[in-house]
Amino acid sequence: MGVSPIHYEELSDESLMDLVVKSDHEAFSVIVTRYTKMFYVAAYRSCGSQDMAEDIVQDAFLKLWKRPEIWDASRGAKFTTWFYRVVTNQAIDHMRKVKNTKGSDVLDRMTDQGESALDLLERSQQENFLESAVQSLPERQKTALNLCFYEGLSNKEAAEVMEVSVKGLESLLMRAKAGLKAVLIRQGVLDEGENMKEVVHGR
Amino acid sequence: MDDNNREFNEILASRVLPPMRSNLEHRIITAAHAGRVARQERGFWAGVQAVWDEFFDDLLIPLPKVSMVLLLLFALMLGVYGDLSFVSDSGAEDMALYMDFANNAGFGGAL
Repeated sequence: MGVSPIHYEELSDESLMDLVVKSDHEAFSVIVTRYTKMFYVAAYRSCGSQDMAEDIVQDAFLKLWKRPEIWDASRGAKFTTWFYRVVTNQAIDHMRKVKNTKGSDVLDRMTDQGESALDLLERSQQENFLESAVQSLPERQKTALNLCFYEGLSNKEAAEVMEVSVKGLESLLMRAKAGLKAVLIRQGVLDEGENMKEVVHGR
Repeated sequence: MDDNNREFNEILASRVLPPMRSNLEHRIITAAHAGRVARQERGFWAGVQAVWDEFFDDLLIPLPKVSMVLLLLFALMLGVYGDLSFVSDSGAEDMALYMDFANNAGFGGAL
């Protein structure tokens, strides 16, 4: 009697992780395929650099593969919530190692969508101001904002990732938004009434 | 105020995200597989080298902890080996007295 084949794509994350712990490369490949993009987004939100975000995600997954015992199913946490924490910590470590972080890639990206040079400049300036403002936030406030606002995690899930209380998370979110508004007003992107200004040369 | 908050949220939501390179998943899977093959093919000393490298790779991160550990080890070494005179002055004097006694005691010709 032969062993029935495993349909890896149908397994839950936690079941796949049980196999990864036993060095099942196929299970690991499914996890990678399922979540690389999602965690790339999270990593990019943290560091603002495409290259660094890809390195962070790669290192996090390879760390998981080399030491699968760091995953502890008995704690009852969802895999995604737990791996958010791994990626966030990896991002923090990366940014500490890289002293001269490049910051956002916004101004390096070009478009060929028919925008005039002035429109491109305006759009790049707005994007760059916003990205710079977010990256200038204190680490924990930035992480709270990224998890709740951009990754769509609930306050409870985000609090679990950051290992803080829900109240603590809400306080971080409030301070992050207040800090962002202040920075954007200082940069002239927002006026006092919090309306987006036109940031265009000569207008 | 709601309009202002909505507008602010719209501004936040406009934050741009460059796309991920399409082969990132493949690179991760390949790197993991290559690592596993390398571990299987390595001999004993290569494995020792790998552990050594991994240890020093990790040292890049917890610098403050490493500094503290090294400092404690240094202090311990200093405490154990700080006094390099293994023979104390009083010990040397005792030995001199003993030899003097041995030479001059006069054991009635027994020695």
